Amino acid sequence: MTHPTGQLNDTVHQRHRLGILTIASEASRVEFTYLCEALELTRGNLNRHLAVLAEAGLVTLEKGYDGTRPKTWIVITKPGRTALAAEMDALEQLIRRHRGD
Amino acid sequence: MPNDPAGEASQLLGDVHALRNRARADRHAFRFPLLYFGTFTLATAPLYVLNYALFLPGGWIDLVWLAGLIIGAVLTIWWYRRHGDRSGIQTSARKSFLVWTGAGAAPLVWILVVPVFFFLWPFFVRGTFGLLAIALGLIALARAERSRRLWIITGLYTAAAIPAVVYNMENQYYRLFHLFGVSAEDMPYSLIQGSPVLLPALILLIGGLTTRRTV
Repeated sequence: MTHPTGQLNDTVHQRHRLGILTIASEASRVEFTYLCEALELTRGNLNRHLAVLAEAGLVTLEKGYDGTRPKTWIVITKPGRTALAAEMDALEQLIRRHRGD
Repeated sequence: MPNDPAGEASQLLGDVHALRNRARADRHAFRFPLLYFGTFTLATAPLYVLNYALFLPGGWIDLVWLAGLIIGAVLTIWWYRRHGDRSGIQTSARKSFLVWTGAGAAPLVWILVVPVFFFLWPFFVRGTFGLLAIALGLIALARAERSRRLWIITGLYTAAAIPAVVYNMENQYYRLFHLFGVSAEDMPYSLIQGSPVLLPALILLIGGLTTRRTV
C-alpha cells in the first residue's frame, strides 16, 4: 500500500494553491481581489500561483469588466475538483495513519 | 513534510476548513429570494378571497403564480450576480431559475395532458401549486448555497406548503374558528379562502428577515 504522502500532488499541495482551489470549489466563480484578501497574497504572488494551476488545467481564468474596471474571475475545472478531493483524502489518510486509527 | 507530517497535514486541513467556511459565508445571498417569495406568496392571499367571492373561472391564479415565479427567478439571478460582483465570490442560482420557471408552468402544462396525467389532480385543483414550485426552487438553492440555515427554512416551508397544495387547509381554519366560538353562520368563509398561503408566506418572511443582510 502506498504511503499517503506519495498521493500528495505537488501542484495542489502547496498551501496557497490549496487555498485557491478550496475557495474556487465553494463558488461558481471567484474574483482575483477576493483571493488576494482571503489568502493574504500580493497580486504578483497570486498571479504566479494561478499560472501554475491554469497550466495544470485545474482552473480557468475569465477576464471581464465591472464598468470600466477590469476584473479577473477564477473558475475551478472538473480536474481541479478531482485533484482537490484527492488531496483532501490524502491529508485525512495521513492524519489517520499517524494517529494509528 | 520532513518532521511532523501528520501535524502539518492537520494544520493544513484546519486552514482549508477555515477558508471554506469564510468563502461559504461570504457568498451566501439567499435573504432576497426568501423575502421576495414570502411577500409574493402573502400578496396572493387576497386573490383567493376574490376568486371565491366573485366565482371567477379557475386557472387565472396559476397565471399569476407563473408570472410571480418568473419575476422572482429573474430577480434572484440578478441579485446573485450583483452580490457576486460586489463581494467577489459568486454562487450560481441557475438551477433554481430553471426549477421556478419550469415548475411554475406545470399547472398550465398539466391542463394539456390531463387525460394521461389525471392522477396528479390533487396537486393542481386548488390553484396553490405555486407554493410547491417555490419549495422545489428553494431546495435547488439550498443545495447550491450549502447552507444549513437555508435547508432548515426550506424544510419548514415545504412542510407547510405541501398540505396547502394537496389538502383544503381552510377546513382546519374553520375548526379553529369554531373552537373559538364562531358559529357556522358567522364564519368568514370568503376571507378564510386566503388562509392556506399565510403560514408558508410567514415562514419565508421570518426566515428572510432573520437572515444576515448581504451586500
